[in-house]
Amino acid sequence: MVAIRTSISRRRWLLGATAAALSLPFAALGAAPAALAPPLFWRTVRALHEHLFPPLPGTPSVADINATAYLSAVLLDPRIDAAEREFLSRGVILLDAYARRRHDRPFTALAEDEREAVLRRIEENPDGRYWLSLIVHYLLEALLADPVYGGNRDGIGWRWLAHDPGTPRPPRGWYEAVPEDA
Amino acid sequence: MPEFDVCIVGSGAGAAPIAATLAAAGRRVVVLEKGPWLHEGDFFKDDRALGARRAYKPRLRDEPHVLEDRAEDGGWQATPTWQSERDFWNGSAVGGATNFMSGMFHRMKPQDFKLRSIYGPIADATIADWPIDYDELEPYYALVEQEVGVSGRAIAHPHAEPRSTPDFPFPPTTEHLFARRIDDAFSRAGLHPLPVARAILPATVGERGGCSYSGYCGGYGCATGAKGSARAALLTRAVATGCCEIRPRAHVFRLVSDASGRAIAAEYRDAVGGTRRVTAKVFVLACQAIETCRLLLLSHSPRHPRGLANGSDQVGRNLLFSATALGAGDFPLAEAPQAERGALAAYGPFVNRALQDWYHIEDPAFDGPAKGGTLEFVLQHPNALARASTLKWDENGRLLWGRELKARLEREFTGMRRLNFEVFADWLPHADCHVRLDPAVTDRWGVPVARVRLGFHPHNARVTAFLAARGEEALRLVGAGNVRSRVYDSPPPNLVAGGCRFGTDPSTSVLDPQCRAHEVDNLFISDASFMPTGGSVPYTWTVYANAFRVARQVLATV
Repeated sequence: MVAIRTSISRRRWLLGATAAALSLPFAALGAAPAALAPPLFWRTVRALHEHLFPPLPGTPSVADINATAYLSAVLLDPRIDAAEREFLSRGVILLDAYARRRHDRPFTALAEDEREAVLRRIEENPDGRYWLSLIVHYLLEALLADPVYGGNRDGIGWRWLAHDPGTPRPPRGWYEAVPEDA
Repeated sequence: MPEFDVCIVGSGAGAAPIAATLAAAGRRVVVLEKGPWLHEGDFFKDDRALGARRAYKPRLRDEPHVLEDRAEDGGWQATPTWQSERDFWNGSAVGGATNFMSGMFHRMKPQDFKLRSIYGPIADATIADWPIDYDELEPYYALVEQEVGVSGRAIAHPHAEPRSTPDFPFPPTTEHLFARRIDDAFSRAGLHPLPVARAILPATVGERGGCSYSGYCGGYGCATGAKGSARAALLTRAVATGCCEIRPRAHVFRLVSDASGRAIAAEYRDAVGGTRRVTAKVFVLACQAIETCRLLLLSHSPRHPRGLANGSDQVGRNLLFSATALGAGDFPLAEAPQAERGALAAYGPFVNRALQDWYHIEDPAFDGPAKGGTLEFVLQHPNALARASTLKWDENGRLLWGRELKARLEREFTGMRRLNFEVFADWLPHADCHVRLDPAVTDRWGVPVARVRLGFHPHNARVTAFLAARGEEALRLVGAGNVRSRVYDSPPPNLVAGGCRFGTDPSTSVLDPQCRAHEVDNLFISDASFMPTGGSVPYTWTVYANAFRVARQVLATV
């Protein structure tokens, strides 16, 4: 099979975001605090997920796919590059700061059209675009990765898309047992 | 007294035939493999682990490559892969990348061995004929059918290469509805659809189970043993002789040579990072082309100051990939007859069809006859994460989310199936495609990494563009909609060869026609590195066949 690279591989390269962007992201979008209080951070993630993956009839919701908890596990996953995890978090903090600067309100308090405008504006920035693509990527993982990883509750994502994931299915913990430096 | 008769570095398609042949003959063999030793029970259909998290591949920060691309100013831009995320690893495990292949098997054709003689020189391409011809390799292609387990159907076909046996030893795998549609449509148009062989057993044979038709084949380890990985097909048997020891998680970083220049030991890091050494009478390298070149260059000594077997400065030169283009066409399920929808939607059965009607091109687009290539037809891979993650981008590169994203996922997953074609054509060897050691970047143990220059000969794209246009026409013949294709100038990392060319002249080749190093008489190289040109097909069958050929030579020396 000619390799059609999966997931985020090469995306950063193709999008023109650089390694420097991971250490000093979104410089063009203005300043943001170093951190958000955890409750606000996760409310912001939840609002972001709800906007990107809205509850529509006949489709799974972010609660069905456990998207927010899934992302919190991603942020602690040592197999994902630490710089990428930091970049994911920085984007959330910046999203809140950017919403406050444009609308004097946190992202969580914005109306749907305001959220859309803020996100499309962020998409215009190469780093912002890369960050959003990662957020959507991990939403899709929560939707379609094996339920052993915490999303896709009872295979709801697979059922929605009539997808047969193949067998044998991975048992819990097998991947963590794969030698990292194999 | 050396501990072993033969020490093999690597355990994939180039290595396992040596191990199996030598062990069966009672020679003491040790196989040093960088990756873990996995078995059928360790393999699962897990999109996240295999694709998104790169299971069985080193972390790019720990073990990068440095890739050189042509810069806008005409120079070369070097980027470590941890920065670009261009992954040039193909999976480390006992059995090597064959664990993760899709097993689409093609022989090279007689003309592929004589590319320069038949088609003549091309400016700036360092094309050379092979020092052996098809007839010399043919018995080993036939041997691979038996030993590795190749299923297929030999038919009278204008473009098929000669074979010494009437048919394959195993009947074809179960085929997808697309196979019949392709046969009908192409034959009506005067084309010659070719049944493609697969290194997959359709039914249980001995210890190896038959294919489970899960659809998750390429990129995934096989849970039944049906896939003819070097491990399932050959190494298990080699170990059973009692003469072959496999040392997994043994990462060789240097071959030691003595004052006379002969190889005497391999030094490697074991699973806990300790340095160990193993001695043998003969050494065989088969680490895939880039890492084989790297290991030779790392193994310099007073007798080999430029690297082992590199007195003529040929190691790393003439690196090959495969020139590729990819195409796709869509088949809405709603347009299929009700009775055929289930079969059309199935992901398990194989399409197993190719066109080689343009393996030799005579067309006004080229100045005289030109070497063409293969159009391989494959069902889109079912990997849900990879598909979905691609669907988040629209045609203009805008990121989709919300209602648009959900609607697109529904449409593409539940409403259609996609038939892809992959183009395989010669990647012409030339001066700007090679492997060296990086002067600054090291792996996590401080060992210089391979620096790979990825220059692309413009002729490649002329051929792949021509074939992609034929591929688009072919998909339309089958009734596909939304047909499109793309020609790639970046190389597919899983189709890599060359770098240690074999030949008769030590000043222009690293290996002699038996794949023994010109300068080191107890060193053989049996992965795809030996290939002066790569043909216009995937390499694995040829690598297996040549390694069985080399095994006879190795056996004759110990």
